[in-house]
Amino acid sequence: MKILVVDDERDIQTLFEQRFRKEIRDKSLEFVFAFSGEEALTYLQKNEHEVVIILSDINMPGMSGLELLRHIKQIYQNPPPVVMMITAYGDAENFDTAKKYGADDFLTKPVDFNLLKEKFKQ
Amino acid sequence: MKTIRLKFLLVIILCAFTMKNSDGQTSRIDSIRHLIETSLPDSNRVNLLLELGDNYYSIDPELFLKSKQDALLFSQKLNYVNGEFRSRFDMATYWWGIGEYPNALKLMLPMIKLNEINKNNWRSTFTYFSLASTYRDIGIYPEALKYAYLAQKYNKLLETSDMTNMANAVIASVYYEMNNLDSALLYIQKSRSYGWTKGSSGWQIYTAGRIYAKTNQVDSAFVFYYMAVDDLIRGNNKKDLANTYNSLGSLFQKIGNLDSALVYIQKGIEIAKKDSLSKELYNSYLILSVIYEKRNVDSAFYYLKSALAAKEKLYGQEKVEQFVSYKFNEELQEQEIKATEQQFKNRIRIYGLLVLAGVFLMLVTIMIIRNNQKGKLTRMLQKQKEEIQNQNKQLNQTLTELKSTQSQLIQSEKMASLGELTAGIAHEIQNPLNFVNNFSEVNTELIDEMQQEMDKGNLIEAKAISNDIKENEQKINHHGKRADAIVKGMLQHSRSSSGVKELTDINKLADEYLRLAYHGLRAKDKSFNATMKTDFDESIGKIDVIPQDIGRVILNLITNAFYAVQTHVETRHALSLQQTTQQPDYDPTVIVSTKNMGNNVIISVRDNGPGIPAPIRDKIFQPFFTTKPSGQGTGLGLSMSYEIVTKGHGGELKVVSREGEGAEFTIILPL
Repeated sequence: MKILVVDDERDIQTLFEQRFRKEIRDKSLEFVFAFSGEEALTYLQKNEHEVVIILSDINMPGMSGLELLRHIKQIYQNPPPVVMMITAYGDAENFDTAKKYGADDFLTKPVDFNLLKEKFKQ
Repeated sequence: MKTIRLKFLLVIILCAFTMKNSDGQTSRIDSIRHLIETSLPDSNRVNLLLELGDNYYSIDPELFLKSKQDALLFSQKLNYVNGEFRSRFDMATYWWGIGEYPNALKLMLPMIKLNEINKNNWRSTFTYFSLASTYRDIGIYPEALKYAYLAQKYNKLLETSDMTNMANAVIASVYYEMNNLDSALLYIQKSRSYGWTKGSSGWQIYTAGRIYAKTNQVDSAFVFYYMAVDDLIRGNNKKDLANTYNSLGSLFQKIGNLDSALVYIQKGIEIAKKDSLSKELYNSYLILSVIYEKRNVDSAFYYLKSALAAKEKLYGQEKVEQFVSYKFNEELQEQEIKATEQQFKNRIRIYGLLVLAGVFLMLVTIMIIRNNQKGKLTRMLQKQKEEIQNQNKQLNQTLTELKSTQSQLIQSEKMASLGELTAGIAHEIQNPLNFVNNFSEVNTELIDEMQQEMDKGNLIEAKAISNDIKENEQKINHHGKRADAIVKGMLQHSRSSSGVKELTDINKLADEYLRLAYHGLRAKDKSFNATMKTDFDESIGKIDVIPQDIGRVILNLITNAFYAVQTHVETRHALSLQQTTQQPDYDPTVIVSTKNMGNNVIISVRDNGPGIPAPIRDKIFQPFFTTKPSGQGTGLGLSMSYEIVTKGHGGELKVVSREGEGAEFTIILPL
């Protein structure tokens, strides 16, 4: 199962690779990383059907996570990838907008990885 | 049926300017127009025309007036008095509502005679209501009072309590304007004793509030005003709502709460502008000019000018002539003309007496001056001396007051920019925390794994894991420090400046504030987006500045730059909606750069926003100058920045801007 992680913080890659090192080792999960919304869209265009889950930060310079979400849900409808939003602000407005744009899930930072693992299993 | 019609009219005349809902009116309009085309030229057609006008009311004033005018002409041809009354009354109410009083009078004065010929109590009542309100708002109070009492007289014959409370309130409102507050209070209480219906008594409640405000019963006034706002919103009565907001603003100004005053006046202006309510707009500007009198003479002057412009529209010379000519042209009331003539004669007599008295006084004065020239001169000098001393005292007092106000305002500017920062800080801190928490959890797991490998005797694997742990530890440390720096920066910003220069990494400072400003804005406005670019000269190293002060300057310039590009995006968007032509692509960009010039350091903040228009370019550093909508900017950001750079650091703060291309602010700090 391929997961695309989008965040402008570079250390997020090390963090995910470490926290999911077992899953990566036994190849139950595969991670790719994009460090901006634009980069994520370019990746998706090239590898449309590979990515199953997209995890995106909301506040990023340039294209925000919410815009990325809107684009993804508009372009890729068959089959739609699962998009989970991660944000530092757990405010209602972000949550509502994310839901309106069709986000499948909403997580707040700091990320609870045990919870995230549970969600991936589902 | 009659009562319903009366109530409908009542809602309008409640000195009311009620906007009706325009949804679904177009289809109704079409069907009425169709009915008119097929109708016989009788009173039915007049009623249809009137109804057509009602439907145009909130959509198109011109068509509203045209339908009513057509109805009027038809009614006159048919001798259909009710139709004539309704068309005149509806048009008069409209003109009165937007402050075009001569038109209102021209329409309503002929009704007096018509009502005498065709006696009808409710037509008389409403005719006099209309005339009373119009004369009251022109400022001819005896006339207004006369008609208000006449309205009350016919009103009583109708025997509905709604109407009586209305008549009493109108009388109260005239007395209020005449400054006869005891009578005003009496009549408004009378009005209240008949009971005020929710949703249609806003104007009466507002009148009560005004009377209490004028009699200095501030608490009661506030209670009534707030009640009135509630009721007027409920009744969708824009004109009186604007009035109530103005009065609230005025009352807050009186008790010294200028911020609240500004908020309410702004609300009033918004409505008055939208519905072209000249009188209300005039009042708003007048109150604004009073508020700014103590804050900023330039703004006060500006608002006074706006008020005068609005007043010119209301009571200009031309209009006054119109009032007079309508009154006479109608040749309605010869008695009145006679009375006026009598008044005029009296006035001439009074003027004559005054002139005589004046001449006499002058003669006496000249004699006194002759006699006492010397003594007077000494006395005059003494008096002048006293006056000067007095003025000096006053000036000193004003200066002290100004100083304390200034320090308060500087504090509030600091708090405002701190508010902008808070959201950014929340975001900036969650990110490093995310890493600290998660990397430390990973490390706990990794240590377990390492121990297992060691138990197995697999030392190579254990060593590899230990390397990961070490790397993670470094990351934890790095992100911990990052959070620490953010908190320290926030504390520094809110603390009063230490005034002590420290060796500071100017690039790091600029970068931090750029991110904070960006996230702060994003937190407030989710749709906001802009490209940030940095171009830092690493050869600068650390320079000696007061970090919290220079940080504040940089933050200020960056926030302004973001604001500029954001407004540019908005205006371009608005333009593109109006025009069909495609606009070239626009990428809102803010660039922060530093440069080492050898004997000084340049920090520049550049944006590609709308630029600063030449006429205001030399005003932007003045205290309180702001282009932001009222309430959004303190107008102190740039003036404080200027002070910090020039006085605090011996540097320069400059601006270069070309309209339509953007602006660049440069801070030059000597090394």
